[in-house]
Amino acid sequence: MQEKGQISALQMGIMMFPFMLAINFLVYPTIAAQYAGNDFWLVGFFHFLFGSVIIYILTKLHKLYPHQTLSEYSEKIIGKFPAKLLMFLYLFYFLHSLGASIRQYAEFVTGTFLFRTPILLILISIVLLAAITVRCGVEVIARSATILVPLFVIPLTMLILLLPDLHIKHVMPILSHGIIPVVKATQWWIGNFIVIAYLLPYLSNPESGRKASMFTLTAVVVTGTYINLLCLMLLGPDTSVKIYPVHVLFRYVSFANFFENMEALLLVMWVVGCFIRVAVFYYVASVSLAQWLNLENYRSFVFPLGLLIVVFSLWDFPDVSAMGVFFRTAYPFEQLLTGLVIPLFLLLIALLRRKKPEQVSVNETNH
Amino acid sequence: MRRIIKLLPLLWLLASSVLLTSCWDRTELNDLALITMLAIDRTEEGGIRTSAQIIIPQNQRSGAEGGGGEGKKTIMRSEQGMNISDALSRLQRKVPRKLFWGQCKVFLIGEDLAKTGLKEHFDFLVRHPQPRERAYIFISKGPASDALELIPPIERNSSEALRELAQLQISLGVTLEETSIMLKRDSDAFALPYVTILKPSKSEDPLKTIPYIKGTAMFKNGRMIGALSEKETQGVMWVLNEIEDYTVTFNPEGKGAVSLKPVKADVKLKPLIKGDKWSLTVSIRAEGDIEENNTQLDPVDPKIQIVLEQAFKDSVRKRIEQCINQQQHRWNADIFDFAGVFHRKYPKQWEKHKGDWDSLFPKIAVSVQVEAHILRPGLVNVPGGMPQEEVIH
Amino acid sequence: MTIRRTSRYFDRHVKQQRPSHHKQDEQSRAEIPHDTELTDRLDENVGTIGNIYSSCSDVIYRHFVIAGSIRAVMIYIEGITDTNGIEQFVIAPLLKAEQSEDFRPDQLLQQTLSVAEGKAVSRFSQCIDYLSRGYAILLLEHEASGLALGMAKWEKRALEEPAAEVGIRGPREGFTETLRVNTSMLRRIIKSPRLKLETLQLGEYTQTSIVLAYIEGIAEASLVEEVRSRLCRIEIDGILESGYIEELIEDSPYSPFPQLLNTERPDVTSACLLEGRVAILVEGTPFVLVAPVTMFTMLQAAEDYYQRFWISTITRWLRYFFSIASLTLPAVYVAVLTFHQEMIPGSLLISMAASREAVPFPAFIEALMMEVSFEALREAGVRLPKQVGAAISIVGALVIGQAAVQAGLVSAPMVIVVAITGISSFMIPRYFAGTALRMLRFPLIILASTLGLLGLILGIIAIVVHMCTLRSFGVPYLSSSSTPIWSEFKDTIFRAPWWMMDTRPSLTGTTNYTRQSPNQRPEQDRGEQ
Repeated sequence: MQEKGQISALQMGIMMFPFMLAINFLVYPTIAAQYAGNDFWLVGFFHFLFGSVIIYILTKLHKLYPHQTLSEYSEKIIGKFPAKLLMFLYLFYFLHSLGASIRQYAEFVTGTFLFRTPILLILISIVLLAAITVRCGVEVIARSATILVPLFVIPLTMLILLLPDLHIKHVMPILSHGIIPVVKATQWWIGNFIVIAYLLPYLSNPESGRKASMFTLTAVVVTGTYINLLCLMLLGPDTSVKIYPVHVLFRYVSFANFFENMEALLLVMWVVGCFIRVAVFYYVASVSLAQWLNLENYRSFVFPLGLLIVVFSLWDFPDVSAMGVFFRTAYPFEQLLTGLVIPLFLLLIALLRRKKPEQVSVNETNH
Repeated sequence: MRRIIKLLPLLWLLASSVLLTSCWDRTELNDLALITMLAIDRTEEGGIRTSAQIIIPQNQRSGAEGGGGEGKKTIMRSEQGMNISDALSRLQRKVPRKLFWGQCKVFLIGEDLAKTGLKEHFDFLVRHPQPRERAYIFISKGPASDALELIPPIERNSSEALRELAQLQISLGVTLEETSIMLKRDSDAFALPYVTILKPSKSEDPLKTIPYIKGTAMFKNGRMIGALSEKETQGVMWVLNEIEDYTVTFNPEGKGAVSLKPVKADVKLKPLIKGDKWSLTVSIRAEGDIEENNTQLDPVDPKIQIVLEQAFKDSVRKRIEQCINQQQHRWNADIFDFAGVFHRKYPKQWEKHKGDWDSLFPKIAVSVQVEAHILRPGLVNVPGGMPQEEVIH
Repeated sequence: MTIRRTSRYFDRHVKQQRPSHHKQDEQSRAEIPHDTELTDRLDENVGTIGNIYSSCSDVIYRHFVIAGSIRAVMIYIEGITDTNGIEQFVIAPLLKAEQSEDFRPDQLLQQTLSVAEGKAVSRFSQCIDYLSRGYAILLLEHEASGLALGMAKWEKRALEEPAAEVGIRGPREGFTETLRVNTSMLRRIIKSPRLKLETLQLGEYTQTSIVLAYIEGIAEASLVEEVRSRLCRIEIDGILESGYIEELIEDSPYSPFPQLLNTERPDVTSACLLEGRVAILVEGTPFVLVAPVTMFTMLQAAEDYYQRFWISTITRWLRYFFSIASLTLPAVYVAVLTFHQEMIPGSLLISMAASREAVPFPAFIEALMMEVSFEALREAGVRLPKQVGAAISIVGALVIGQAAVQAGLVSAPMVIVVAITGISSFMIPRYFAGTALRMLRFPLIILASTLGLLGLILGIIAIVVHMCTLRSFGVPYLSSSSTPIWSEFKDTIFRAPWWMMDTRPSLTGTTNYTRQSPNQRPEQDRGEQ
């Protein structure tokens, strides 16, 4: 085991909430609206469907191989060498997602708040902070996430103040182009749920893992729909045009002529959310790398990995429009592959192997 | 201890980096030129002239401290360029402080520019991170920059005057974001508030006045096609369901005027497509209190109340019918977004007829249904300034 | 277990110190013949003690003869021993004694001497030990053992209201410098024999008595053992205040946050003991240490539990809000003023611009300057003799506030921000927890002036992460907010009424979880009648 700490299922659930929503809530309304017009708020349905399938698969796998991460049990399922190959793919995926995440984080900060601050500084500052946290272990990540979550949630509730400016008419007509555009708009970012494969083994009450994940999924879908609906009802056809529709929402809040221009709140929730997302992803990447190299302790290469993440973030995309192209085209397939297809394939093989004589599996779990 | 000593150079490095970073995003308030209103005009050569109203912080002190506080509170600077951004960057050369218009809540666009096309220049206002989506946009009669030089007697500056007026909801108030949506909606026409400079009273300095919202500027295909008068604007606002604080005055039976203040007005647009016939019902529910009664009628009398309500209905209906009629036949500009109303109810038919909305719009049969109630007579029942005998019961 | 992990750190810490300390030990042993037994020759014994206490003018040797034949010496230290008592109850009876009586020490205690406490001593080390604690030593001719008589008595401060923790409602007495008085106050509150008071001496020269107090059956045995073992590891020349111990036993020595509670109030200490915590009382200081604690303990005042729960709950929220404000307010001000001016409402921005127009400093220099001068004023106010306190407050208020603003050196909003920050940091009931937050706001101001709100949030996240790594004797410092256990909120986020607090805090008191019998809400009784 690379980690000695333990977290509770509830903590994992709370930690996963900003992990899933951060970044996504700011960018995806635009992409979704580009595909589905005024129906994009319905994507939550598919997120829920897809998310529950992923959670089912991962918790099932975890039940078959308790106290093991994806990297560990994939070796038991498909053998050492293919698993190493597969895990290299995952490692790459984690690093790539991390790079993309912090790049999006920094792009937003430099694009809307700190125009002249070097992007490298913004990238490094969050990676450094996350690295320190990751070195402290999963317990500290979970605990800080729990404390920071209110900072992520409260700004969202402030958007209620937009109520007088919302127009229900923008929602109509519902599904005038059928369901296909909505499926396209789904974007599958819910596939990030794969990281629970690395958190479930450290739960103090693993039996509640599925419940907590489903709880998070529901919260994520509800919040996502809430944000999407707000965007749609305020911005209408303009949603697909804005680079950061939620940013506009926060800027548009005006209450009693005094509580105006609340984008500071967005910055707060953005940084907090991204920090939690990066910390969790970073932790998962570090653990999976340690397990890939069969090392006892992941802590020693947290900092070197951080350098790699910064480099990845700069190499991933030359500019914002390339980022947009990636998220519109390649990203859904990446998510589907890593989030759904591979775990499903692992689960099927695992179930098939389980059906073989008892001896085999006993031998394997002893290792 | 050794660890702390090891950290010291790092701390020093951090501390000194603070001093180095002044070249990033830190700007002191003393180095900012706070712009309250931006006027955008078209120059004769076809370029853009931007004028900014800039706060003079030294002259802002009010109350007891303001000893020699007769100085102007704002100044106006303007500059031309190829587009707004170019003009603004040239304007910056004339202002020793960094232009800051994060608090600029009013954008005033000259009529000339609006007539040649707003679409192209609107881009800057939504693309640049500084203009607020909630800032109000107005079209000015004549050059927009004129309004910037005014010294409002009550408000701090003319921008605040315009903003307060827009928020009163007596006349149209449209934000940047709303404009941005209107430019993208199904109908290709929209309306923006139309501003003129109020004539100062005789004793006043000609500059001591405010700009005010006089009517409505109509846009079609992003180009201003004409202006509506104050009275016509009321009709537009009825249809747009934005009537909130407006007094309706009408003539029951031609015997003097009665004024009502609608407490609540609820407007619903109900589209209907039957075969080829597109029709639309504007149904209005209005309730109001009597504010003034110049007639001899006793409004508490139920019989007379019916008369008054009928007159109220007629007045509202006439105004709306006139307004819609004018839009359909004179301007052919769907500023009410009837197109969207049809689209939401009949998405399939809409897809088919999307292209020929221009020819379809004038043909729509519009009927107006008004349901009106007079709720309260105010503080007196019979006409206030009249002996009891003269009152008609 | 978490406790084990923290003690591992301690091992390392102790190992570094040990060698040097051993040397010192040997030296002192050479000076004082600790292990030598008393001989049966009186002069030799007195001489040895005299050698040990050479040049100690406060040690008194009173020679006298009992029953005309037996020489005796009374040795005591003046000032900490009750001279009257010695005359009246020891010397007088002995001088009057008849020859027929038995003069062996144990018999003397039983028959002749009217003192409450007396012990036979047979070693010099014991003699010295007792002498230094105010006992009088009686040595007799031809006896190889002496008597240590409990005659300790020294000047004590009267019980006073605690200076650092004042309250409107609640007991007004605070701990004093005398250990036994302090333990007696605890015993007076908690009468159960399960209140255990373990004594140990620490400090090579000071030999300070330290009492480890806990309630058996409520405090977890592992916690008591951990505290005891950490205390026993201490090898230091002297302990003058409980702060020494605090720094020697805490989990994260580099952290700015206090990880042990120090309190002057017996009621607070007793409440903590009843919650399963452990208290450490130190001779010579009214400040008692309590462990383990969480951040929330630092934000709870004794009065919270004596007032109506609604008021306490709301006061707590106010306190939480302002403790966050004391940490972040100046940084937020600097960040908004120099980076995000668009977030200030328009009219406010204009008046701020007007007031800042004449200020020559950048906002963050202004903030640092004002904050530092505030800290200076505060520190000066603590150290000042009471008579000049008024002068300082006038100078502070007038010079820093009024004059600086009028001279255009600082802007009025900045003064307001600093004042609010200063006041809010004193809302934290534990003075030193407040200090930690006040000091942390300086790095936050610097971060805010480099990266604006972004830097501020990053700084706050860093502080949160740091606090999450902290543990106080195995208990997470931010527990109950970082591990959402709903039952814990009753005494952290809220202050539930007493009839709802049926259980002790689960992080400290799981051995005896139930605090009181359930269903004590007054209404319920009335309903049944």
